[in-house]
Parts: sequence; C-alpha cells; structure tokens
Amino acid sequence: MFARRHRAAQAFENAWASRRRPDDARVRELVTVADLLARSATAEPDPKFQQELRTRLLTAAPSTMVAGAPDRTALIPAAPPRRRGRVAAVLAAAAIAIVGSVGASANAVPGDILYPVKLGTESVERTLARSDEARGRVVLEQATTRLTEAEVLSTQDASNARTRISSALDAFSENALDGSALLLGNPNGSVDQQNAQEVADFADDAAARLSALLERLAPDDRVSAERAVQALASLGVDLQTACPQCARDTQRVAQTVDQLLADVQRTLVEDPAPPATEDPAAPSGPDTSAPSPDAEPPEGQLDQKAPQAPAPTTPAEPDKGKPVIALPEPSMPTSVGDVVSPVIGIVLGDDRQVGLVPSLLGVLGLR
Amino acid sequence: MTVAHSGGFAVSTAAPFDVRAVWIALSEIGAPSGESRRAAAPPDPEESERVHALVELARTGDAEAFGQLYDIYVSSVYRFIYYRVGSRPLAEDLTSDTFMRALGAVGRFTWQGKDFGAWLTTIARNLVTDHHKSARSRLEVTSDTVPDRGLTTASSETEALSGLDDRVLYEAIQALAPEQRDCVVMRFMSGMSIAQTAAALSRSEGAVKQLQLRALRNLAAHLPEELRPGP
Repeated sequence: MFARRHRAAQAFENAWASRRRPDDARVRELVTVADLLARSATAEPDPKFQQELRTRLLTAAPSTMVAGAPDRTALIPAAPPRRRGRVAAVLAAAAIAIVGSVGASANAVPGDILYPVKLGTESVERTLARSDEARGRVVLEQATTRLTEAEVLSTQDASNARTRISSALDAFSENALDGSALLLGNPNGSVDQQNAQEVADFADDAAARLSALLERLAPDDRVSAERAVQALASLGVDLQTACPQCARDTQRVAQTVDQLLADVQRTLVEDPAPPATEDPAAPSGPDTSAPSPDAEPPEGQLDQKAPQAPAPTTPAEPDKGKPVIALPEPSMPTSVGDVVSPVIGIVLGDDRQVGLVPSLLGVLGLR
Repeated sequence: MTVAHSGGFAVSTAAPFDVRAVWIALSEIGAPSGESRRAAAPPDPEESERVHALVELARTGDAEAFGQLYDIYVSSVYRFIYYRVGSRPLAEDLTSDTFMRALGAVGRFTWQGKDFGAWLTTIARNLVTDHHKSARSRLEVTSDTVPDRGLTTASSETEALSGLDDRVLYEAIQALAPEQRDCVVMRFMSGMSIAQTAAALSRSEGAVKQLQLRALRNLAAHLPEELRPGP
C-alpha cells in the first residue's frame, strides 16, 4: 500500500519535472491540473507597491539590520553528501584504474598503449632508489626488461614489430651502460667485488640472450643489435678497469662479447639486406648460425652460447642453468591471477622488479 | 589590512581577510536585467552562487544586497501569500511584514541546508497562519477577501482563456487540508522546487511528493465540471 502510494507520487513528480506527456491516464490528469494551476497563478505584486516596499526596506535597513558574523565556511558552498559520495567513488575508480593499468603495463612492449605507463613506473622506481648502487641495479634490471621486450617483439608478426625491436635494443644499450656505470662507481676508487660480479653476470646473461635473438632479427635490427653488443663490450672494458682483481669475470665477459660482436658484424657483412621475411623464426637461419662453428670460443667460455646458435627458435627456454628470464606471454591474461600478480609485483616486488613499497621503504630508510 | 576591491569600495575596518570583498565580487556576477523572477528557485548554478553571495553580504548588514534579494524573491513570496489569503491589500501587508521580519533576522540566517527562498516562504507561511488564527481574520470575511483579477495580473490572452479565475483558484485551494494547501501553492503557483518546499514545510522531500499528489487528486475532484481535464 505504502509502496504503491510512493510509486504514484514519484510517477507524478517524474512526469511533472520532465514536462513529458505521461502514459498513465491518471498521472496525465494530475499533470493537467498542476499545469492549470501554474498557468493560472499569474498574480504579480503591483509595481508601485513593490517599489515602495523596497524603498521602505532600504530606509529601515540601518536601524533594523543586525549584522551577523561573516560565514567564512560558506565561501565554498558544501557539496551535498550524495555528491561527495560520488566524488569518492570516482576517485576510487580512478585509483583502481591507475593501479590496474600499472599492473597491466608490466608486460607491455614498445608500441603498446600501456607502454608509456610501464616506462613511467620504471622512472619512479629509478627515482626511488636510495643510492647509486641501488639505482644501478634497478637500471640494469630495466635493461634486462628491454631485452625481454625485444625477444617478445621478435616473436610477433606485427608489421611494425621490427622498428620497435630496434627501439627496445637501443634502450637496452643505454640502460646497460648507465646501470653498470652506477654499480661500478668511480673507476679510480675501489669497487665492491660483489657489484662487479653482478655487472659481469648481467653482461654474461645479456650476451647469451642477444646471441639467441640475433638469429631472428631482420638486417635492419641487427644494427641496433650491434650497438647493444658494443655496449656490452664497452661495459666489459669498464669492468676490467674498475675491478682488475675480478679477472675471471672480466675475462669471461670480454671473450663472450668479443665473440658475439664478431658474429653480429659478420652477419651484417655477409647478409647486408636480405628481404625481411614475415615469419620471425625463419629468417636466414643457416647464414646467421654459420659463424658459430667458425669461431670456436676459447677455453670453452662460450659453451652456453655455441649450442644455442643452431637452435634459435626456442629462445624462451632457459638452457643449461643459464639465468635466462622467461618471456612474458604476448597474449591476453586468461585468469584473475594473470591480472593480479603483475599488480602485486609492481606494488610489493617480485623476481623482476623491486616493487613500489620496498622502494619507498628504502627511500625512507626503513628497509 | 585595508582591502580595496573592484567596485572601488574600500573596507577601512581592519580585517586580515575580507570575506565581504569576495561576496561583493560574486554578487556582481550576472546581475539581473531588472525583471523580477517568477520562480523562487534560482535554477542555474551561477544564479544560485549570486544569491549565496548576496545573502552573505546581507548577513553582514549590506542593505543593497538585501534589496537585490528582495527583487529576486518578492514575486514568489507575494504570490504564495496572495493565493493563501485571497486579498491583494492583505497580501501586500503580509509581504511587507515578511520582508521586514527577514530584514531584521537575516543577520542570524544560517544555511544549514535551507534555501534562502524557502526561509522567506517559511516566514510568510507563519504570518499567513497567524493571520488566519487571529480574531481579525475571522471578523474580516468581507468581499475584500474574495480575490479578483487585478490590473497588475500579467495575463496574456491565452492565459485569460485557458487559466482559471483567481476566485475559482482560491476557492479550490481553500477546500484542501492546510498542509496540502501550502504545498500546492508553493510548488505550482509560487514556483518552488521540491527541496525548497520540503525546507519551508519542514518535511522530507518524499512527504512533499505525497502531499502534492494528494492535493492534486483532491483538486481534480473539486474543480468545476467544465474545467476538469478530460481523460
């Protein structure tokens, strides 16, 4: 009974407020009555009376008006509570969207819509690092991420994947040099052997992955790959200068990289411009794998890479204990975990990133 | 600190932050072209901001700000009173009383969810109720209280043809219960919103919707046969 009356009252109000002809005949009748009232009520105060009263009011004002305290809080009229709730809801939705897009951007590659978000997050991570060493580690991790992106792109058929690989590789070169410089610090000062070890491991890993990637690169991208390898070579020289006592590591890196550089340069000379094939796994397999047997790695230092070269189509598989980072799937997330875990990784950190919370704790000196 | 503001009006009273200057600036936004408003509800946000600024100025004793508020609301208040008392001279008296009371009380006006138009209508409604209660109203049931269309009624030809005569209107409204009477006059004749009517009647918005529904149903039943709307 009550609900029905409430509905009827609301139905009339809706019809009256919208000025639309209601379907219900009973509501229509009430709207007509209300309209009749509104149209008939045309009485206006006599203009003479209106003016006289105004004059009387203004005359009486000085003696009648009692000034209250100015209401400063009223300067900004308070938003009605429902609106405040709506604002809170919008803010919450925006926060969720930001966290969601940051999480979803973890697997983005150059050219993706969310890729700038990923770069922005990385920039924040760099800024939040509390020391040069910590920042160096972050930057080297980001170099590894660039390499992963190049690997993902090399498996894609997208027509512009090629140019995007170059940009990822160039960013890799830059990050590799910056990160190692930060970790190795002043070349004239003493270098923490552990830091030198980290740089050496990074270079070793990167060289192995570049070597595998090289097989699948179009000639245009091989120029970027060469730059990347040269960056590693320069890094190896830095390592030698900075840490003469870590001879074993520096020698290993130098040999690996020299070998790789020779490979790259040979493919560039031998295969100056073969037509870029659509299938990324196919291009010039025999040509690019040819250098491997020619140049035997001295002292077996390249034992991880030499067998890798003839089987370049499975680069994602970590081989023989090499810490090759698994490639992220270039597909849509299929479960809630796929969406949530990158977010958790971003916020709390995982094996691929430091995470915002630990970074912040580090900045605040709490870690 | 002495603050000089746009109107060339300098405040000499020492105040660290002159709120008045802000209100004056706001009240100058979209000043009316001189035409009085029909509705009690300032519909657009800019107008409501201007009213807000004027009220704040009036609260501090600014007579001209009160004068502008009077210009905005006098028609609505007058119409409410007129259709409740049914006499022009009486409506004029009670309108004067309403604004005189408001002039004395505006310094104590607090928003607290109440619209200024609703506040004025509450004063008017109390005066009308007092008037009806007073012995004078019982004695003065003369031809004077029967409304007629005066010369000042802004009636176009179409309104004259399609609208109701003030006498018929008044009598139909008089037949309603007191609260329905106030509600219907505020909503449909004075042009107040549901929220303003609810504030003026100290009822919830839902209650006002129920009141107006019942009032219109009763009115539909009491209208003269020839004026009743067809199905």
